[in-house]
Amino acid sequence: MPIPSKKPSFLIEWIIQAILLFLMEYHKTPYLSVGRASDLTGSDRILYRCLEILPGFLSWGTILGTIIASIYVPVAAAYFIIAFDLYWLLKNAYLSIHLRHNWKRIQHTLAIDWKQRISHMKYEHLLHVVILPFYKEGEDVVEESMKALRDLQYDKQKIAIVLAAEESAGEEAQVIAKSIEQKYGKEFGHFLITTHPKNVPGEMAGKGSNISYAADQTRIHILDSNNINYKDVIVSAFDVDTVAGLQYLLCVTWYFLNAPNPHLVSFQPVPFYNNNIWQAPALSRVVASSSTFWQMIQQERPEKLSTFSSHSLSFEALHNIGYWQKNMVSEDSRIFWNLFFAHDGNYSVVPISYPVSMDANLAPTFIETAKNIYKQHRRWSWGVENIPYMLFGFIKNKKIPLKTKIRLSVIQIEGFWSLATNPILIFLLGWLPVVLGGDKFNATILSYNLPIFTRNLMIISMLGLILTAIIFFSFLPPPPQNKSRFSKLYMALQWILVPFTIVVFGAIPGLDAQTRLMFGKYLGFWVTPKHRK
Amino acid sequence: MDKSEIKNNKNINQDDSKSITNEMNPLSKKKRRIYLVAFGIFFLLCIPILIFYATGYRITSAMNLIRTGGLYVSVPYSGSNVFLENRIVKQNGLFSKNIFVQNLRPNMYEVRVEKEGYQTWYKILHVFPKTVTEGYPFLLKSSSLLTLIPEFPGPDDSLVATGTQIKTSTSTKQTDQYKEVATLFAPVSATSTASTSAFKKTRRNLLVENKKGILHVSWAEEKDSIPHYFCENEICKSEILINVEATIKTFDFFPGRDDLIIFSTQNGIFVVEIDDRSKQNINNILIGSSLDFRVKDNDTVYIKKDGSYFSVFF
Repeated sequence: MPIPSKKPSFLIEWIIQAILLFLMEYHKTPYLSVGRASDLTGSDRILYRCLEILPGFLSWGTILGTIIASIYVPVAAAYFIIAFDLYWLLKNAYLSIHLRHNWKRIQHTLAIDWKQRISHMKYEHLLHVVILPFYKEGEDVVEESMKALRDLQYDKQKIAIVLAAEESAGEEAQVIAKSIEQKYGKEFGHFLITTHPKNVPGEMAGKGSNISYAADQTRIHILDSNNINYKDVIVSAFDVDTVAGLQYLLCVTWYFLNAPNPHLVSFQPVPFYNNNIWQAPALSRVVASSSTFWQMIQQERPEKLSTFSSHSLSFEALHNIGYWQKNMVSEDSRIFWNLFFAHDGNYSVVPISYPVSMDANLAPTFIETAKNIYKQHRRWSWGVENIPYMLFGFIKNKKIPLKTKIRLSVIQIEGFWSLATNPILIFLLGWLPVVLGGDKFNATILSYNLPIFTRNLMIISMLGLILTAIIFFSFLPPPPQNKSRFSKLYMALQWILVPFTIVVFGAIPGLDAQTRLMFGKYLGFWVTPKHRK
Repeated sequence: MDKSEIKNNKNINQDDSKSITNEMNPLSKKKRRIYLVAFGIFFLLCIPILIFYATGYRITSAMNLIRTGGLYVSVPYSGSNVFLENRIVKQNGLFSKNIFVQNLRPNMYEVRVEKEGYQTWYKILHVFPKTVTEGYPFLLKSSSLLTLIPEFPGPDDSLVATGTQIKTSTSTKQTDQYKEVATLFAPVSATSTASTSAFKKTRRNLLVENKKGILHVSWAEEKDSIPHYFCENEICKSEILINVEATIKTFDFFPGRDDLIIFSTQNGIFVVEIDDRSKQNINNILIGSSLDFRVKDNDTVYIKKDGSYFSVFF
């Protein structure tokens, strides 16, 4: 049923839309696959554009507001900064509790023999489809992931590997795909090479469009041709460098079989970046590990969790909404919101606390590595494009309870706001009232105590790095033989980089992404280069 | 799907997790809520305490709430001893030269800064509630090091002094440095601007005028940016006098400082601070008669003594 976009009266248009949306299933509306404001027309487009501006407006408003307050009301600004510093300290302590708990849960999960755990269950009817998208990565990168899949403790005949190439990657990608198929194809029940066509109208070149194409080709060439029920298929969308733990598929199978409705949940592992941890520079290690720790924290808050990077879900659920979105960048988190809205809020993520490993950023030179880290985090921060999508969906979908809408809105907006502003407020703006507050403020004892309080609260917060260092070491793979005996010491000392990395590779790319979204300078997909030493 | 079904399914991860592992589930919502509430209460209790503390409020042993102030002393050299009420507060180091003391009840406090080989700086400073009183001591060496400016280069390119010393150089061409310094001390005509500036100096909106041997220091700009020593507890003076009980002949701002005046009288050359919140500290540079000085480029002090010129190292 078409939704009219132009009516004589704005109010009439809104009323008609509301009625239609109430009657129509949300996943059948064009709103489900909105990528950006320009995908809409009329008042919808204006609304969506306003929502795109919101995250950047809040973040810049906070930063600029602090600067302006430091000039005109330095006493109030100083009070705010002291309160914020304490809030930051307590937030760190609160999240550390989550981190510690998930650390134990991961260790517990890894200690379980999942083969034995599901041995009494019927799961032979299930098929695991693992989609490995690649672009211009070398054969060594692809092969390492294939070896890891081959080593998985699962009946390989019940695994379908889909090597998803891009036509735009050229002939070399085809050669690599064929070579991999030749070496490993026979090890699995099914092996499919797909080549996503380039320049498809309405699509953005990137992982989302590639794996969606691959999923549909899987349906045609594997599922339909073998009469496999979609409900018996679990899809795992990996990156080309993803190395899953040996019992990953067993673990996912167990959760799939025990979920009350496995087609209403996604399964989220914990991403580690250990593939090349001993080769990557300290900067890259700290930034990558920080991402891991954040995901570990989120695993303890399932109602706040959305899918990220490598994840698994039911093919049935995926197919029903048309696979991952092809017209935007953050397809890994967007798929959660697509399914959430398609099911009117009745979709969630199961944190399985099982690790998968990927590459930490590594390039031939340090400068290039630093640039790639920045770009990668900016792309991850581009997940802020889900905020307008989510808020727009909340406005349009009348079936989701208001309490849920408010709760999730606050959680998601706060998440992106704190990413972009908190490190800057803590590490850079704590001194502003002293610098900008004027002589009258600088004569107060408050102006002298402000830097002291800021410094002391930050030092106490940094004590939490001890826990993170301990956790980091517990998951570190053994060092290669050519590493010096001081390499472990460097691994411990690297955490002093956190105040720097959290601003330069956390807040600034976050602010960069939000600002781009605010001004409509949309990011395209950026493929993280994989470099192996 | 109706609301009850949605609600049931929302509890999937919570209830289901229990049956799923029977061992280790995510942190329960209840526990997280308890932690959150506990941290929230802690935050709300601590914030007023922190802010009161930061603004100078303290609780006495008799459980009275008082407002305190602080002292900030910016010491120019490391290795100095700072005394507060005759008790050593700190021996400042290379990386922490400045002293900040708080928890002081509003009162007058004696501050003394000493360093071996230097003249002592002493001040009585008034501490007010919720504010920090600042002091900027200056320390000059007990005996200044004078370096003679030679008039002529020596026979083997070494420089040769004149004046009371025997000239052994064969060169009659004065050194550039000597000529430059001599120019500083050249007599000026009564009508030239240089003549006027002998009685009036300005720096950074500070105006210093020599009126009959007494220096009058005033601030030419708005009160917002007035130097701290003009004011006490937001009450500011319009003028500070420097009266040393001898007629001031020549004066200038001390190199690198705009709160110190270097001046000459018939008894010698001295440095005095403008800050008159208590007795102004005066340090000797050179005692003697018929001494004169000039400050070049706010950097170097040259002294004329018995026809010779010297540069001073502080």
